[in-house]
Amino acid sequence: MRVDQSSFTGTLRHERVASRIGLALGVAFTVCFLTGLLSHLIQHPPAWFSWPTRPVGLYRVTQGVHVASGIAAIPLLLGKLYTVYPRLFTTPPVRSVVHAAERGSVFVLVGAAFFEVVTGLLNIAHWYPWAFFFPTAHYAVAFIAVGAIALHVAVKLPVIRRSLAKPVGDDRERTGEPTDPSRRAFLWAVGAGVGAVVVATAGATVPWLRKISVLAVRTGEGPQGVPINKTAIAAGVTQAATSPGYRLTLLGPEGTVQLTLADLQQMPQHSAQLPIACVEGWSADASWTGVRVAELVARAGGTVDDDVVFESLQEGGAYSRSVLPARHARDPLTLLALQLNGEPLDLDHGFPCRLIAPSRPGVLQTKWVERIEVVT
Amino acid sequence: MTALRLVLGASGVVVIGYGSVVLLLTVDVLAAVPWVIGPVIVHDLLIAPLTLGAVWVGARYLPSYARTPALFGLVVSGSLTFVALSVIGRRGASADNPSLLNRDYVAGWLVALAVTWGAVLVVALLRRAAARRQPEVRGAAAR
Repeated sequence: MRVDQSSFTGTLRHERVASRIGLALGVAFTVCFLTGLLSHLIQHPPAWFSWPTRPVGLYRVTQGVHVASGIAAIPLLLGKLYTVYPRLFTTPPVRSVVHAAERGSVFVLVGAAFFEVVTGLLNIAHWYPWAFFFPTAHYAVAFIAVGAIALHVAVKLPVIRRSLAKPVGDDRERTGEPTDPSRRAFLWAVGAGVGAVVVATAGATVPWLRKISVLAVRTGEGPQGVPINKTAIAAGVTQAATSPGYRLTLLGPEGTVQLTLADLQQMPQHSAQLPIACVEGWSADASWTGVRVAELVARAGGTVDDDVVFESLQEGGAYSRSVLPARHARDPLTLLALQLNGEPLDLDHGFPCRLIAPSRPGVLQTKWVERIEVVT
Repeated sequence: MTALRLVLGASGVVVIGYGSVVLLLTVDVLAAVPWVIGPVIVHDLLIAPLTLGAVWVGARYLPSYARTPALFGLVVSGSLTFVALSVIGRRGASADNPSLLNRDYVAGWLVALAVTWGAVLVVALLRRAAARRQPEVRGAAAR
């Protein structure tokens, strides 16, 4: 039997196909939203929020999932729009106020969804062809996107229930007649697209994928085997960090101490195997050696319930300072690291010393530390 | 179901409202708006018509056994290309940081497309061979 061409192109654009891709897209966006929200809360913790220190790679996983689910949403979004594209040209364009509102909400949904995936994708590639501040815009529009999804699901719920209750295939597929391609094949093709983009990028955080992730923003290589996000040159700290006059100021209830690098080297040294996990979704495991932050806190007269503020030699910038919650500060794995993978820290990794704590975003692992204040 | 729809719809509106307020208060909205509208226009006027054109050409000129593999090829290579556009020009690279964007993305993208369409070809040929072995079942498809 000859497969009718018009039905071929038309049969894929059916509510049973749209609702299935939509369901997957809804799941991807929800996972992406929740993991993104988590990352936001870790970086700007309200009083009620606390983030665990174990497993040490927890943030590495949640943020890796955030970026991967956002990238996975791209084929789903394109596939979903393919199934509903003719509806863009509905005539008349507007039938009623309700119809206009519904169309408007779909535009908000599509616009916000594209904004999130496009800005996210460009952000991990460090390409900023816009004038707004990425983190706040990505945060705000994420709420618009998930809100619009909820609204869209509410509007379409009868259609969604109706179409998910029935098999996706059309009559010819059920009777076993050749349909090239079938609706089911289209769903699998979109699934293959999801698999392809995730595998092509996930090597930035999944080591065994590194060789085949041809579009990953990082290969995992870098000074001392660990990638860099901000270099000493970019931070403008080269001179201050390498100056013989460098002193670490340690401030606490018992006053202020000035420590040289030699002083830090003479304190008891500890090693920890901890990942550096960037908000941009890449990560790398490394071996760090240095002074336990808990011992510095004790030396400054602080207790295990005190938060600790780390300040960098880097002047200005949103990430030149970070607050280490007490839970992380008292953790024996949390170090003021002097060495990385057995060598003195590379300048780009934060020489003379940097913070490294389990399960935290890389932007909060302050480099080129100049001042540590125990806040009681 | 009506109650569920109302609750879901109302919470959607509230969440959109929160996002909009945060956007207006913390973001340079005039700078951000083109990035909300722009991708939609690019999709509706470029990506979608190109996709429809490719599907039409496939439906018109490809033999039946090749259509499903070609559809896979189209979706996979389109998705890979969308992602590749963010890295292929290495626009975010900086001279002081060789650990960032440290791949040959043009080569990687071309290899990914070659592997994809190589697989499409192999599967299409296997389908043709299978259709020829069972002419009574798949004969029409192998036409």
